[in-house]
Amino acid sequence: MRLLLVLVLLVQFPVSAQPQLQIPASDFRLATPAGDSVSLSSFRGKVVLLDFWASWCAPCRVANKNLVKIYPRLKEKGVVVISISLDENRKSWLEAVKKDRLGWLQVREARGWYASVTTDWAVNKIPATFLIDQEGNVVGRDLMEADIEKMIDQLIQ
Amino acid sequence: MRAKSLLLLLLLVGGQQFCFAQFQSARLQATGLTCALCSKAIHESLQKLPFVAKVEADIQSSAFAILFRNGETQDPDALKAAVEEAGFFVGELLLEGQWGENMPASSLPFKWGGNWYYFLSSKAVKDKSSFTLSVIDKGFVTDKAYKKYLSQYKQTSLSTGFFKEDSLNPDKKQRLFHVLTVK
Repeated sequence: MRLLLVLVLLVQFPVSAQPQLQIPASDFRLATPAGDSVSLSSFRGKVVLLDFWASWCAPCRVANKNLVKIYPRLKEKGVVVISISLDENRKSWLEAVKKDRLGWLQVREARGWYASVTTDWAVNKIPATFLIDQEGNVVGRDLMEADIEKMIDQLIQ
Repeated sequence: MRAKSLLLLLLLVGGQQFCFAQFQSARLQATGLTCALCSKAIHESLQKLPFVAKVEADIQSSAFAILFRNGETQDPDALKAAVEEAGFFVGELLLEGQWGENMPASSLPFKWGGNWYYFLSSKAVKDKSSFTLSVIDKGFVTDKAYKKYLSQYKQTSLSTGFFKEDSLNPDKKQRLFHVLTVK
């Protein structure tokens, strides 16, 4: 049973979290629940944590709980957190945002998996998270919470 | 005896043109080590089937809601292959549609969406309105459930997935899917 858990964790959170990554982040422009358009490039100069998820993704909903826990600390450090939902259904998206109490920036790509944003970011499964530095480079992918905070501390030193 | 009458029926009606009655949609539950709904591969794999119009994830039933394209042969084996190609297994396949004027007799195989189906339960067809059928052939339910159905129904074709061999046409094996009425 324990082995299975380890296996599941390995698949869910591959050890491929690569702090040595430094790839220019692909920009996107997506809408918030209020209809405002948000682009990633507008946060240049800040550390950004990007999270791909969807209401129908059970592991994402679990990950949301963890992110809710660490969000106050990230916010304090000036980190911008953006969740990109792949929900095709707007209502399901908004309900999940409310239910999971996601208090940070929310945008949605209504075309889901078929949107270019998933190809640009090579997202083949969700949840998928990316850490982007102040210069707009992707410096980490699918990091565990502890690693996210550690890397952020390194970036803002 | 039953298998013989099935064969006879197939011979009688096999060559005839049917009114092209089709399923409208399906609900497919995929199982595996990781979350199937969260994988792009399985969406892509299902979406590229010629008879699939749209694939959406439904959190209520943890299933893929698949909308079928009109006029294409609907092949449960292709759905299964697509799921397995993406590294998952089919845990449940529900086929949805409306009988309309083409309501089949409960005790005879019927052709729907270009393939043959057979009700394993006699209380199969309730009315003309919408229906949901569960495919219970090997690979369309969990192994445990399939074994249970095998011992419950003792239908030879359920163990092979095919009509009994056609003595006139021994090379041509005809696929037969076994279904139960869910709704």
